[in-house]
Amino acid sequence: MKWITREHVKVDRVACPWLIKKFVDPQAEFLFVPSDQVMSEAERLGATPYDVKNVELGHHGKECSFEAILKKYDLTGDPALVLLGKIVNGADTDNTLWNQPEGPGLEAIAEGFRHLGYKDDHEVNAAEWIVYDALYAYCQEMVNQNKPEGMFA
Amino acid sequence: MKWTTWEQVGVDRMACAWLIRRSIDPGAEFIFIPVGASPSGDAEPFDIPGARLSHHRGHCTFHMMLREYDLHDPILDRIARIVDEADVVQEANVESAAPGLDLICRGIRLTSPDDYVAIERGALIYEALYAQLSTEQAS
Amino acid sequence: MQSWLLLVYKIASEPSARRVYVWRKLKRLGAILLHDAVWVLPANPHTREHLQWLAVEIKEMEGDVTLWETATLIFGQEDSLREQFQQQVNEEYQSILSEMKRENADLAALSRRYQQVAARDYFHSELGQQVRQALIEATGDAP
Repeated sequence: MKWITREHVKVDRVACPWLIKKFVDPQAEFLFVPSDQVMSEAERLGATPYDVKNVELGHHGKECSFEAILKKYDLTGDPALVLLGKIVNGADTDNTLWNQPEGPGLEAIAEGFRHLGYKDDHEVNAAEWIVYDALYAYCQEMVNQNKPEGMFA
Repeated sequence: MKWTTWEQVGVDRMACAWLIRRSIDPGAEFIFIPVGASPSGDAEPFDIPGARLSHHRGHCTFHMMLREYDLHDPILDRIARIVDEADVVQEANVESAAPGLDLICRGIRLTSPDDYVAIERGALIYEALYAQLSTEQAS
Repeated sequence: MQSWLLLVYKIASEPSARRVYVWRKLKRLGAILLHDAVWVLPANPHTREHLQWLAVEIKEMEGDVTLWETATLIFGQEDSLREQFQQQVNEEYQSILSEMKRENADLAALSRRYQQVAARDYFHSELGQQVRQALIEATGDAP
């Protein structure tokens, strides 16, 4: 399946491809285009849009796109993914919904990846997925230690 | 030169390894010894209690390395503060990035086959952090 | 040259919870209201994205909203705006400093407040640097 979003990826637009590839669609193909072209290209190419306004897989109220994907694809049964969603939310929004202290660190590092000279959004994604693998491992460890809200709850 | 520290690297050791390769000894060779072991041989120990390059007066090893090697750069100083807050309990926390950095480093070690790979990945994280803090400074 | 974001919106007065929600978000971002009509923030990737999402939320609340990115045209206008932003955070920094002087100051809580104010300190207030140092030094090096 094809998945499409705005170019110049930040937090949600790296977290979501990671999530999609790992848990939703292992054959996923990702497209990054200027924001005013997302919907027209989505229709033209039969791609599912995410993390843009007015789509099902976007921000809703205080929740971020990552969380919308968790809900849509029935991934909320994994408490580690739910916690990861809260952390991504904290990094991508104003963090008033879940107030996860882990959020700002992720935001700083995710922003930093944009300045490392990668050629395009595909390269940024490829390089940055280790961060989400790491975060997921942390979240799993927290769940195993009976701390589904993370270390600082 | 050879450098040695304990296995299961975390936020401070990853920061130090990055700093060593970046600004002190680009050809650095790292040797990881079991947690609790005493360093021996001619490798320079870091972040091992009692070593010259380790925690001092409430500061992390990274902070001490900046001092020992006279590396003054406002961004590195800020990273030292962040690692301080991530690795050593502080009364006042002024850097919001600290908790996230700490757990990302933990997670990196959990998902890496060994400490060698972990410090490579950690170096990328610190490069990204450095880049972001530089941008903030400039704005 | 500094670029600025302007947000102009209108939401029905009932239910008042919606207006309060939007107002709180803007205050938390440190936005300044000009002439009771236009909210202003300096443009950077963070503020841009946050205001774009906020505009989406306002539309979802059935409000009207426009969002602009612009440059100032009157000599001195930019300085005056910067001063307003500085003043806003400096008041809060001053309050933190005063609280630190009290006995039994809650350093953990004051640090959290500092972090929140620093997040909207767009022009790197010097007073902010002082507060940061003061907080760090309040613990002191271990004996």
